[in-house]
Formats: sequence, C-alpha cells, structure tokens
Amino acid sequence: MQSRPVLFVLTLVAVGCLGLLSLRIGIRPVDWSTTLGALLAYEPTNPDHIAIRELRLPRTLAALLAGAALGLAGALMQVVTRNPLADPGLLGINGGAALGVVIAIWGVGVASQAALVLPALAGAALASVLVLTLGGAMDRQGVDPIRLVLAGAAVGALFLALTWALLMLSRETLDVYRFWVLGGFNGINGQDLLAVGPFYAAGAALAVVAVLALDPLLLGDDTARSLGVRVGLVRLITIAAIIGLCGSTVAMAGPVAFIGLIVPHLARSFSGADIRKLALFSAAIGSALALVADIAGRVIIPGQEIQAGAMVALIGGPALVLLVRQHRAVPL
Amino acid sequence: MTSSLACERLSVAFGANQVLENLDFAVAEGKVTSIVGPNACGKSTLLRTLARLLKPTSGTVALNGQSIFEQPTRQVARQLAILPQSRQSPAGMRVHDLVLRGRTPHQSPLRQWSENDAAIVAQALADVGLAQHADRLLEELSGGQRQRAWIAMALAQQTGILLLDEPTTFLDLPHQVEILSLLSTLSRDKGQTIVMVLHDINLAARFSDYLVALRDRGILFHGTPEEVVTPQNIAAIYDIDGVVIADPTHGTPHVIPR
Repeated sequence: MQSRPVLFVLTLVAVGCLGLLSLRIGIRPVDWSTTLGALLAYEPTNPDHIAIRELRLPRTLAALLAGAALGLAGALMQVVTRNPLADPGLLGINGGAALGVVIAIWGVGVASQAALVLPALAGAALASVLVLTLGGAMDRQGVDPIRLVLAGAAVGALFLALTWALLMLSRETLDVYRFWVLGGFNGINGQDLLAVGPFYAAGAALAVVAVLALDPLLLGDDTARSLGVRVGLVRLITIAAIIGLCGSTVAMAGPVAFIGLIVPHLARSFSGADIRKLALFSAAIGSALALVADIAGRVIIPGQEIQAGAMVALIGGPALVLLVRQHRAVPL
Repeated sequence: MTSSLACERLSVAFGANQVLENLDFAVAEGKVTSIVGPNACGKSTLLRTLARLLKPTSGTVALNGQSIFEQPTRQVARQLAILPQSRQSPAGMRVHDLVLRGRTPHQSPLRQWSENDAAIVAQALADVGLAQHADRLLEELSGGQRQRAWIAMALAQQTGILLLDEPTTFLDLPHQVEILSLLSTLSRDKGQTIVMVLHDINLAARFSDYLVALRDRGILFHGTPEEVVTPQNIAAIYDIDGVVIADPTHGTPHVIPR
C-alpha cells in the first residue's frame, strides 16, 4: 500500500523519458544534446531545433494529452457504467466527429488534417448532446448508464451510416478521411493544441469533480443515495467530463481506439479500487501508452510511419489478452 | 438526535401496478419496527419509499414533520440511513474503508475528513463487534460479519433512524439471530429507531417492539407482536391455518403452521 506514491512517481518518470524519446526519434536523426538543446537553448536557425520545436514537440504534447485524456475518460466510463468493458467510444462521440469531418471534406473541400479539428469537435458535440438527451440526462431521474450506452450505440451507428453514405459518394473524401480515421499525432501543430486546449481544460475540471464525487457510487446507487449523494447529478458531471476529454481528443487526433479500454485495467492493478488513484494512474499510463505507440509507429518500418491509432491497437490487443489471462484484471 | 418518520396517505405505483394505497403510519421513535407480510405485498417498496429511494404517486413521507422529498438529500442523509438489499462493494475494499463511507453526508469537498470522523468510525466498528477486523478485506469476512460491517457503515452515518431491507437474507440461523440481536441492542442501548423488512414472522415477533403487517396494498395490522401475531391475524395475513404459542425461552408469540 505504501509503495503506491513511489509507483506513481515511477510511472511519471517513465512518461517523461518517453516524452524525451519522442522528441529525439524520427525520420531526421538527432542526438540527445541537440534534443535537449532545442528545448533549453533554442536556436531559430538550426533546422534540427526547428524540427523538434515545431513538429515533434506539439506531436509529443498531443500524445501526452490524448493518452491522459483517453485513459482518464476510460476509467470514468468503466466506473460510471459499472462495466469493465465500457469504452468512451460507446458514447457515439467518434461517430459524431467522423460525420463532422466527412461533411467538412466533402462539403467545404477541406484537405488538410489540421483544418479538421473544428468540424470534428462540432460533430462530437452534436452527437454528445443527442446521446445525453436520449440517455435521460434531461429526465428527473437523471442519466441511466445502460440507456446512455444504448443511445450512444444508436447515435454512433446512425452517424457512421451517414458518414459512409457520404464517403460512397466521393472518392476524394475517402482519401482524406482514411488518414483521419486511423487516428494519430503526426501533423498536429501548436495552433491545433491551442484550439482544443479550452475543451480539454473544461473536461479536466469536470473530471476532477467527478473523481471526487464518484466514490460512493461504488457501493451501489441505493447506498449512494442513502449517503446523500445526488446520483443523477454525479453521473451527468462524469459523462460531461468524458465527453469533454474524448471530444477534444477525437477532434485533435482522430479516433484513437483502445486506450480508454485497456488503460484502466492496467491502472487498476496498481491503484486498487480507489477512484482517485485509479484516475491518476489511468492518466499517466494512458500518456505512456500513447507515446509508446507513437514512437513505435515511427521506428517499426524504417523511413515510414504507422499511425499511432493503429499501433495502439497492435500493442493493446495482445496486452489486454495477457492481462485477462493472468487474471490480473480486478473486477469492478 | 431522534427524528420522527411517518407516512401520510402514501400511495406508490409502478406504472399501472398499484403497490401501496393510502398508507398512514408513524414509526415509533427509539424502537424496533418490522414490516412483515407475504411475498410481493410491498414490504420493500414501503421501506424504500420511507427512505426516499422511491417517489410516491400521492401522499408523502414526513421526516420531522416535513416532506422528505422536499429536503436536501444530504440533510436527510444525516437523519436517516438505509441498508438496501442491492448493494455492491468493490474488490479490495477493507472494513474500515467501508465504514468510513458512512461519513459521506457529514463531509464536503472542503472538509474531507477529521479526527472526529476517525473516532465515530472506531465507535461504529466497536458497536458491531468488528473492532478487531477493521483492516480485513470485506471479501474475507463471513456473511454475518459482512452484514455487521454494512450496519457499522450506517451507524457511522449517525442517523437517528436506520432502515434495513431484509438484513438477514442469505444468512444461516445463527447469523440471523446475531444480526437481529445486534439491532435490538442498538435500539435498546442507544435509542436508535430501527425499521426493517423481515420475512420470518417468528424472528420478527421475537426481536421487534412493533410489527406492521402488509397485505393487499395496505396495512392490515400494526401493533406489538402480541397484538399482531394471533391465529386469526396470521390467517388474514398469510392465508395459512396455524397455532400461536408462546416462545418457550422468550415468551414472544410463535407461529406454528398446521
């Protein structure tokens, strides 16, 4: 029990090392002194420094942010639905973002990945509002997790159907879309980070409230109500936090799957049942996994890159199978 | 710290299915009241409505003279605790952690945890006889010990009123007696008001000060065990033919079906 703070610090150190590694590794080879120099003593004329500052730094920050957000959102999702297989993707957010993206490409002729941030955000927001309304957020009883997940599945399917309908109409749209849909952190610049920053901040603030308030819900809804907890309100805040975190992430990096599913299981073997510890570990491990996937995608085929979204699934799938086989996944 | 609890012309329905109709009754303060009756007569529904977990279709539940549904839920939670039947405990939770959760309505984001809370938790654990087991995992405990841990959580909530939905379900006879003895001791020594749903009319008669017998959406009988448990009443409540004898050890009425 006493070793948890140490474990957490070790996780953070690992994330830090991975972050530095992510700054160093890439198609343009640089050494450690150049990497650190770009951070500490930036020379605007040094092409290596420019590559690190302008390309790799935003990319690394994006992976850090997205991994932490997805890990945290996954932990919240599993706690609030009481389902160890729940994934933030069940809320239909990715479907909404995909539709927003496809409409922007097809209707407005957007071609660059960076310009897709706002349409994706708008689509994710629209899907979220729909899912929340159908899921009972406006009712007096509050959000019902099962109804919410069903609403998410329905809305997600509808939006994906519309997405595919548009893609069938236009081959050019498909060409841009297929890069977006894999999910990844390359090509994210400082402006993209600034654009999604406020949404991340809002999601993170809600997540803090949710983490502090969710604990009594572990004892069951009736017990939580008996303890004076407004169960519906706590659920609504939690779902809003998940939507904020995942909506920002899908807008910035595309639908990076699997982190939200696997990271809470990894985190739980360190954190135990305590939600606050689970949230901290999930965020840290999420960042680590996103960075590992992004770095691995750069080195696995020399001279080429594999999108982080695909790498996460390649690494995460076997990891989840191992985890389940070793019975280390603690039930909720 | 006593609080009064009463229902007034209380009706509860699930959709078109009327479960309770026009119930009036006041809970005896500082006493043990058991709700008895045949299966599906609305025992749990009544208890859950008393605890504001269900909303009535008409009428109300009054806590200290004011409708329980119009009071802030945290304020209610400082006066009334319920141990529901359906509950969960996450794996890896220790007895002490569970009991500590009972302090939730007395805490706030700014005032998380105090020395006072520690003393109250220790007292609650001592009251249920689990002081030695505070650091054990819930899943390591016997069924009776686990039930006592949950009761300690409700005690740590420091409410005048404690409601329990079938606290003896899934327990064998010695553990049933253990839990019910504990509850009647708490009522006698600390003036705790206790209302519970019980299946076993004989255990209810032995450990309760008052019985409420439900049948056909209403209260059929309400009184002391001696008043309620008579052959005629038992026939009316359960449709069975039985004799009632005095329990040879405690003198409380005891039903023997014919």
